Amino acid sequence: MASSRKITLRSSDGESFEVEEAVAVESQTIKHMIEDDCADNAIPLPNVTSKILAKVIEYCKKHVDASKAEDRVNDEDLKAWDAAFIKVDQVDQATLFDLILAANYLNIKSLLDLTCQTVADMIKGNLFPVRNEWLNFTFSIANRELVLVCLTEWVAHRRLFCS
Amino acid sequence: MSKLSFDVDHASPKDENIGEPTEPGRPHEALFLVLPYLTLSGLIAVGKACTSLRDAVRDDVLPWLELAVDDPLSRRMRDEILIEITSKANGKLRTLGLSNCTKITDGGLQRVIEKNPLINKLYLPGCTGLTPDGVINAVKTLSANGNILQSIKINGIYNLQQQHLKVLRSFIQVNPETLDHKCSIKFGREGDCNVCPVDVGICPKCNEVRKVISCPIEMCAGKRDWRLSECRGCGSCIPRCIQCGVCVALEDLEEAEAICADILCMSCWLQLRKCDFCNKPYCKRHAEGRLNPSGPRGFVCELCTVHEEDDIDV
Repeated sequence: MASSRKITLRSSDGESFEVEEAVAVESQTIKHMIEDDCADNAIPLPNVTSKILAKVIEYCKKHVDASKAEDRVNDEDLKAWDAAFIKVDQVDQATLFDLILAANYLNIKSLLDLTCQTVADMIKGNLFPVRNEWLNFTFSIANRELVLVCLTEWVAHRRLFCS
Repeated sequence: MSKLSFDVDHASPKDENIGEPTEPGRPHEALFLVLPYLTLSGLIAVGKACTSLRDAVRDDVLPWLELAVDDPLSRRMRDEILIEITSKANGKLRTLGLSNCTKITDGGLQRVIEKNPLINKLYLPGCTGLTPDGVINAVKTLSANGNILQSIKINGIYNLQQQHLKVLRSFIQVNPETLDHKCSIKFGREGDCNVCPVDVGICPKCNEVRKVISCPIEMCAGKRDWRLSECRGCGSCIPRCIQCGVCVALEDLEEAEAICADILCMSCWLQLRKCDFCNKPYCKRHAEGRLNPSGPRGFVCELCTVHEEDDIDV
């Protein structure tokens, strides 16, 4: 049933993207919509802007191509592509967070794993930027002493962590 | 974008990262999705940031299903604390990751396992408070009710013998794809192979139970006299470059020295910045935080800095 049928996706700001069905169904959400026959016309994605949708499509396309027999890419090269795709100076933090929300909404597990793990690693490495141009949230990363204190507090103030 | 109301009841007052006054607000939704990917120290840090994150960390079960205890908490983790923390998974813990948790005992591990029978990934590298028999008991308990372990890491536990490895392997899920996997250093994050079900094997050269690593194929061919298939052994038998994983010849060992005493191959050594005094580099991992990336030309390593102060009057 592998067809080269094209699916049209429409972003929240009205832009249309035409993609192959194999690429579109990397998203479980879209896959279910197609199976439920809701995909005759364009599939509206009200939670995803065109900027983010373009990046998501780029990711899905690469991963679909990578698993095709002719263009078979080995795991390490694909991982290197993923790392470059998500690299922090290529993708600013707002985009990274929007990608997380889009991967969650569209139910693309590998993209969700990639983006969330990137942010988790930044938090772990204390690289998370704390600036007021961060639009709607700032938080400070606990330095080493604070984290150590937290564990002592865990023991002393269990109610903080156990409901 | 409209600003939401101030929602934090105890924002951290001292933050060296904030240069200008910051605008507080609710955390971005995406942060809640990141919670399950955080290690324990990340979870605790994030839980201190504001009330909504604190509530999410405290009350949700999802962030606690794959526990990863890391520095700086590893050496302070004790049995009682571990039992409390794992209880937040409500018995559904899937991954137990204790990295270098030297104070955890066999008894503590057993209690955690008994309360969480669904664990399928057991990571205990460097947990020197455990014994091989304790680990085997834990694995037996886990496998008792039809649960099959997918992956286990035990490198660093003392007194591991071949028979222990044999018993452990019998409990691990057999997956034909990963059976003959030849690990090289590039796999996984921080040198951990996430494909092999067991992280240690029997070194073909010394027959001890160690982490066994193969040469990355594209680099080793022709470097040594023996054939490629034999360039496989533990770290003590075959010295390897810490960055690219290729085997390092004895002559290169003396010339391509690093300040941090890690082993580097000549090609990796040539690419790194060297200390102005001793002409040795840090390896990439130890260079983070020690080198100023936008510094003018060179740097002086910490060992040479001490000596430099002594020579001021020369």
